[in-house]
Amino acid sequence: MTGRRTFALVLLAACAWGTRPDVAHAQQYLIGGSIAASSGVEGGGSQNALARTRTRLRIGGDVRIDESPDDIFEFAAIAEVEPRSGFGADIRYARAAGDRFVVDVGLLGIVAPASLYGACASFNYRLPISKRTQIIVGPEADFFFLGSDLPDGTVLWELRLQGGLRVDL
Amino acid sequence: MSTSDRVRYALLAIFLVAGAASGCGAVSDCLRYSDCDPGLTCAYGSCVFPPQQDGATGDDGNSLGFDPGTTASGDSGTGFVVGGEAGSGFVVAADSGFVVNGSGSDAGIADTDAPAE
Repeated sequence: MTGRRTFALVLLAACAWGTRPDVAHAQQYLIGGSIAASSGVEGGGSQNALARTRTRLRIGGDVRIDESPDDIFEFAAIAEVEPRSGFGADIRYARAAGDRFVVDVGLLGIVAPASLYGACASFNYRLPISKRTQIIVGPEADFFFLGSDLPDGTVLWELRLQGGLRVDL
Repeated sequence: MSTSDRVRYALLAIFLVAGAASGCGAVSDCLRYSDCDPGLTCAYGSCVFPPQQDGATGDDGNSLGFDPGTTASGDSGTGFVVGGEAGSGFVVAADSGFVVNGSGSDAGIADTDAPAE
């Protein structure tokens, strides 16, 4: 009797295992990579001064799930190349607004040679040039309010125009 | 929207940003500390030498910050004017109007407790 009960339990477990909802196989990660350059104007501080901002290179990637392709997670390494250098990173949440427009918000930070942390938002237009490649262009706004590179009581803002290339991997 | 319109809008945006960068507003030397050369700091939009610490000058062990027997100008109202001749007394005059006259002392040291002769 005990053996039959054990057999029944094992059989039930096997059936449950074999018929479990298998949603993982329906999901697929869609990954993209991008490289872009940007520059523009920056200002802030008590003088509300204005200057040309540092030219920045951004090399990053984006991940989304095929079941929800409009919700995109983006991450990138950023490098300020002129007139002064700096290195940092950003993470963003992006939302596709149509087939060719993407809006994103996120956090970014410069960590070397001095720290600078803030928030960013951008709007990108993706112009397809092949099945998997797009030209990206659009404005970006950055606001820095923390960090050792920032004078006391200063909020630094940057308005950039960025352009680059994105590839579906 | 046609492609030519998109290109037109993109060029307009580029010109706006370039124009703002080149001529609008007060131009700043720095907005971040790292905008300045090493050894300089950013203050009020300009790269300047960092301010010296208080007490960097006149700290020779004398709490008053002057050498007795010498004259220092005290026009600011906070300094002292000290003048003395050995054997003929001494004069300590502060800008506050505090004046001590004495005579017959060779010490040349101001001491308010010493009886004037």
